[in-house]
Amino acid sequence: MGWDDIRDLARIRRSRSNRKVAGVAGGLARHLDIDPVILRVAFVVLTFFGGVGLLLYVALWLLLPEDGSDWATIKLDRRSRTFALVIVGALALLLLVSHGWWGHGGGTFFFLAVVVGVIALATQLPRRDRGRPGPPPGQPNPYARYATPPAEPGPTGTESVDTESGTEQAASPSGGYPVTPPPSYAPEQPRPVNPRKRGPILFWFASAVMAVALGALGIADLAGADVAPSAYPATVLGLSAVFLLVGSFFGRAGGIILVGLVAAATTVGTTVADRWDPHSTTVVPSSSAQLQPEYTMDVGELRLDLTDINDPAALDGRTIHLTGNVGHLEVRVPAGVTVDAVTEVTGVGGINAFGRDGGGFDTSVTAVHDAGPGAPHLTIDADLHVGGIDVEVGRDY
Amino acid sequence: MSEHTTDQTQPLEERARRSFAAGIHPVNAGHLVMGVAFLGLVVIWALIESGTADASDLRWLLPIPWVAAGAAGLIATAPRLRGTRD
Repeated sequence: MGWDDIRDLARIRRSRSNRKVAGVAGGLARHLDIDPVILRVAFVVLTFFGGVGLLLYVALWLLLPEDGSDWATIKLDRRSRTFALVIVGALALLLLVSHGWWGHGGGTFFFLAVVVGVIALATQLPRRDRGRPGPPPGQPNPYARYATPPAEPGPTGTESVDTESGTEQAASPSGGYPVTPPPSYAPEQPRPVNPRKRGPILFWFASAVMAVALGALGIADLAGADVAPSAYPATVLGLSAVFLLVGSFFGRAGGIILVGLVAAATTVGTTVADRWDPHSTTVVPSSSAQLQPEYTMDVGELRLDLTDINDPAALDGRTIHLTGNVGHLEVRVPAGVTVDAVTEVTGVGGINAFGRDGGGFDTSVTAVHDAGPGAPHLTIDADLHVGGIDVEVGRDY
Repeated sequence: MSEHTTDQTQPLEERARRSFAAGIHPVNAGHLVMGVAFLGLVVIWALIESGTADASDLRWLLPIPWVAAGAAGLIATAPRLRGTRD
């Protein structure tokens, strides 16, 4: 199974023999020479991310012909079908990337995806094992699943087979035997025993251990122990690691990589959400002495209201620095003070300073509120990585 | 009677030992690589969560599991490359 074979997308057929719904996963898995369970689980898991899995499945259902046929529900020739498949793949990738599943709260979806993935595996694995008996001893060339059946040792002639187009040209000088066209795929042969897939399936034992560990963690959490939310997926990740290390030498650890990948993503998501909890801070100093020269925030919202300052004249010549990472900076200045606002959003965001707008990537706006001659002069210097900055003249919130 | 018991238990023990031995196989590099990588990620998570490392340390911490996983995979597959499979 080479790269060129895989790239020949027009050869893909929906499997008749290995199907749960329409044979899409079975056919794709045969084309890629991998276990169909992996693709089935992937389709189910992807369904949770904007329905990508479902859309992809239906699209492939309509585009891929069945075994033994050259025409799908949507009738396209080989070239057009290849092009359509590439477009479908690109669209699915685009949908997946644009879904934004790394955001806060994505953990719930991941957990849901894990549960569905486990259920999918639970329904698929035993059937797969029953449906795939071991190869009889001395099975000749069991890799030849894509090839035509071995030709009968005929007394005369040679046969050339074009497996790509599914047609066959017989070139037998003396008439030879009548040749029947082979199906696009030869009947499925039993797989050879992979020496690295030996021993007991570890997936179910690992699932049970993970369930016990998660339950124990939950009990400890309820009992008052300080259990971080990310400890749950991290436990699953750690156990996946242990069982994969065991499975690399003993038994079969199939399916645990997928569980580990989902657990890793969930661990990242919950750790980030837990540590960078956005919060809102409002600062309303009542005198210029209370006003700090610098205010910072990480993620969230920072409001600085200077309209309650009872000695605005003392603000003359001062500069206030506000810096933030992600979120919203808002400054309200008293009408009787001349203010220079120097604002910058280094990443993506928007700025509104005394009615002057700016937005996009790496934006800076400088604006002045002129309170007339003789008014005290204050400078506001606000910097943010991502988000919005508002500087305005006193108005109630 | 005693002879009957030994006849029954002996093959059972033997069978258990043999079935365990039958489960041991040549190293599966894919599982080994992902196992090492996941283990490394858990260690990083533990360091962050315990306060031993903070977010700024992730820049140099995060590549370590993958380097370790790749090294483990290379060590596991190197002897096989010497063979003449193709």
